[in-house]
Amino acid sequence: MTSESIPWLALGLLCICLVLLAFIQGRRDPYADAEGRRPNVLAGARVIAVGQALSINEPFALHGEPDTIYLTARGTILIREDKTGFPHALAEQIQLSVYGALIRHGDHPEFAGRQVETYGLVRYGIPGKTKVRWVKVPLLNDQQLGALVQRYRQLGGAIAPTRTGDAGMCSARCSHLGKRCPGHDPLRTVSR
Amino acid sequence: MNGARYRVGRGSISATELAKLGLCETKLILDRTHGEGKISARAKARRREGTQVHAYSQQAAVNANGAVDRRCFVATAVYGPDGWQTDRLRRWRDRCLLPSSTGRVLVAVYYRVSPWLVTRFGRSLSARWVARSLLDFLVARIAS
Repeated sequence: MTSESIPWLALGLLCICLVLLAFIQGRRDPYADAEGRRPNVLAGARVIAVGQALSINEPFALHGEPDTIYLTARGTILIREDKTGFPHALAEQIQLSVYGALIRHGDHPEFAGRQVETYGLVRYGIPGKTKVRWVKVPLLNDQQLGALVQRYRQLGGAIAPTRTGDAGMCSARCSHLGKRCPGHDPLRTVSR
Repeated sequence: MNGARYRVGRGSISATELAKLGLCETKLILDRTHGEGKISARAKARRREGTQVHAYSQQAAVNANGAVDRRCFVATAVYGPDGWQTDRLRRWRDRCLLPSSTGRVLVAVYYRVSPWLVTRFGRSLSARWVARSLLDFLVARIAS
C-alpha cells in the first residue's frame, strides 16, 4: 500500500460508515419511515378518514371499511389499503374499486362533491420486517363492478366457479385444499 | 376520524367478500357452504400481526398528515429556510431522490452529514462560498 492510497482508503471507509449509519437511522421508526417514502401523489395530501364504515344500496348493495382515505392536494379523494400478507393484484383491485363506489355513491358529507381518483394505492409489506412497496391500482368502473356483483350472486347456482391459477394461494390461504378441492388450475394465469 | 358503525342492508356484499372473486371462486363457494375451516395457529398469528400493523400504519398515516419535510440543512444555511433555491432543492429531493432506493440512501447520508458540516464549517466564509457555488450549480442543473 502506497502513501497516496491511504486518503482514498480513509474516504472509502468513511463512506461505508456513513451508509451504515444511514441504515441504522432509517430503522429507528419503520412506520414513520414507510410514511416518509409515500408516493409523490400523496405529497400534500391529508388523511380525512381511517377505518370509516361505509355502505350503499344503489346501484348495488355493498359495504366496507377502507383503511385510509386521503384528500389529495388536487382536491380529489384517494383510497389507500395496507396489505401485510399475500399480494393478489386482482383481489386488491376489486376491494379498492368497491371502496371507490362506496365513496362515489354514498352520501357521506366529508366526501360529497369530491371526485374519486381513478386509481387507489396499496401498500404491501410490514415496515421494519418485510420490504414495503407501494402499488398504484386502477379502479374498476360501475359497469365492471356490476358484472362482478352479478357473478357473485350467480356463483354456485347458474355459474360454476373457477379455481385459482396460483398454487401458492392454495397452500398458504386455503383450508379446503386436498379435502374438498383438488388445488389450483394450472391452465389459469396468475396476476400479482 | 374513525367513523361510526353502519347499518348493512340485507343482501349487501362486503368489499372483502367480493374481493374473494379475484382470489378463487371455488374457495369462495366452499367457504360459504363449509365455513373457512380450521385456522392454523400460524394463520391466527399472521392475522393478529396484520391487525397490529394496520393500527400502527393508520396511526403513522395520521401523524404524517400534511407533514412536509422541511429539512435541507446546507441549503438552509446558504440560502435561508424560505429561499426559492431551498424550496427547489426540497422539491428535487421529494420528486427525484426519494422515489428510488439509491436516492433515499443518498438523502439519509446527507441528513447524517449535513448538520455536522453546518456546525463545523457554517461560519467559515470560504466554506460557505464553496457550498454556495456547488448549490448554485445544482439549482441551475435542476432548473434546466
